[in-house]
Amino acid sequence: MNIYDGLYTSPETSPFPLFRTPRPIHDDLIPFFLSYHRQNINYGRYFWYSDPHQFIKESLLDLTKQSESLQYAVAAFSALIYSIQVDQRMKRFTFLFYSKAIQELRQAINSSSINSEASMCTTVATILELASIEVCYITWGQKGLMISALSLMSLNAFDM
Amino acid sequence: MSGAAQIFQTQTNATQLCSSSLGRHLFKWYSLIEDECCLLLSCRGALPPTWRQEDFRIRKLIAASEYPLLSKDELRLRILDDVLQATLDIITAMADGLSTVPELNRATGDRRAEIIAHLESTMIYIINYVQSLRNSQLVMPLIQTFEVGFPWKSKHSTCCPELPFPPFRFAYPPAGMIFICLEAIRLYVTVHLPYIRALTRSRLSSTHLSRQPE
Repeated sequence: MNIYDGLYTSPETSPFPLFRTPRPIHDDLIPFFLSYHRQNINYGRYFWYSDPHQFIKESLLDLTKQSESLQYAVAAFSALIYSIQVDQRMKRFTFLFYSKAIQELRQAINSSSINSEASMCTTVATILELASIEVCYITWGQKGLMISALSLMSLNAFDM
Repeated sequence: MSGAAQIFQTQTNATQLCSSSLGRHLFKWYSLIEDECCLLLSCRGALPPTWRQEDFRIRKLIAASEYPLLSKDELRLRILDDVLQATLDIITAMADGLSTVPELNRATGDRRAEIIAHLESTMIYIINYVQSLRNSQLVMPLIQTFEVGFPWKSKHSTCCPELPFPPFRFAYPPAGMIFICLEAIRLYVTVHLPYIRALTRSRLSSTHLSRQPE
């Protein structure tokens, strides 16, 4: 699976460069990382001992369709695993998506939109997904994810 | 994690959350991360233990109606999941015990005696819980083992000592995780219990000495 499949990298290679809404390149990578999650990440990566109902493989990804913050959080986790399994340089996307997920989550909480069961579930799932990233990162002996993400946020080094 | 706990407590309750499959999965996920944090940081969980008890109760209720409908393979997977969740429920008691240790170091007099007694009773409770779970009708057949019947050979056989126990296999290999969890918890508590008992003895003897008439 190649991260650049289905993506154009420069306006010259795009078939419709003028009609495309300008979006940050990392948002275009979300479908790739969600797909990578579906195909390559199982419950063991979340330190689950079993998953008879395929929550990690199916239900979690279904939930991402209802929440942008969860989408970013799952993409961040997927990027982290991708950086370990395939290409270490992709770790920066973990930080980018992690920060975006926190921003979206903060907005969701501040707007008091957690009034339905569905939004409560997606909000909690986002928090747990972000916590899983931290647990994974610390477990593999690479502390400082939070610091990196926060410093990225404060520098505003990427377009939100 | 305390944010997730707060959302749970303000937006729903244990019964409502654990009544849906999605809710039970979210709660399982939450419990796993909370357990890790509590054991690493020696602190109590953010949710009251009643939430886990409710999850256990509802799982048990659902099991009674759903187990007969499952195929043999599905049933074993499902039992494994339920039993492991029940095994890890004891971690709240472990975290509770661990969180009192820093206070034990600072406390004196009656308060110290209270903490020692609390720790000892918590540890005995954990050992009994693990033992009863291991001997339960659901777990016993799941962790059944059989001897391999021949000496275990590996690439380290020539350089490393032999296994300290006869090699065996699990009849249902994924259930090895239950065995490991139960053994790990039992060993952890068994190793620490004598220290607490020694503290109890030393406290009793010092009390006895101080009360002896001159």
